[in-house]
Amino acid sequence: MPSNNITAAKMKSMCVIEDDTVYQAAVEQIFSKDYKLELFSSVEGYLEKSPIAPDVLLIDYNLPGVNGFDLFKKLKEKGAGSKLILMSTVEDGPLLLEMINKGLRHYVIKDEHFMEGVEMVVNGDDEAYWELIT
Amino acid sequence: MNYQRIEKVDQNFFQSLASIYMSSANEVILTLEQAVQERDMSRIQFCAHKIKSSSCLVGASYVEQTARTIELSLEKGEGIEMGLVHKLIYYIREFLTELNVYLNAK
Repeated sequence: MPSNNITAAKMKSMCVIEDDTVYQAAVEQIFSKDYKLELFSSVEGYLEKSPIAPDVLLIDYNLPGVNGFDLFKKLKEKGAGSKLILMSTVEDGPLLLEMINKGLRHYVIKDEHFMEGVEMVVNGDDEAYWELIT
Repeated sequence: MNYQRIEKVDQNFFQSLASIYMSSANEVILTLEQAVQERDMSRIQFCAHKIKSSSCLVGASYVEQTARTIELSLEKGEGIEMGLVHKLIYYIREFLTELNVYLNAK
């Protein structure tokens, strides 16, 4: 039987940048069993700690200070190895198109489907997620 | 109210999420009341955004819709009637009372 240390080493890592405590709790509930999870409430806080690129980086769009999309663009330019997922309540079509043009491929809307949706997108089932919400 | 979506996940989790929501919503009420007195539109917009987002998750649809209307109007630079903000505060309070009754009955 593997020791706890081996199990921990094999665990994927996820960083979440979200300032809303309700969503922090939701994300923690969904992913803390399968991911080594770190929560940050601002981009600045995340950059200050500068963790090694996590396997998954879940970023809220609307954050105090630097917004999530600016961090996304920066990380894209640098070619960060993480799976970048943006989450937002933004319903602005042109903005969403701009984000897609800048390379956004994984997006979760913070609505009543969030709990199921974020799990689907993190697990790579974006198509099923879009079917769920459309 | 429709809690089934989250309750399906885990009853304990729902209770913990509800308690985080309640504390956050109470802060929003206080900030909104102050912002209304000071006619501070940017704080009203911030609060509307915050409560809109978390209300989706706990099924507070009236709160979410009213907050959405306020946020969108302010984003577009349109003015809002202060009555609408009072309505939002009323809906938040009403939802918190309902949530309390529901949780106590569990």
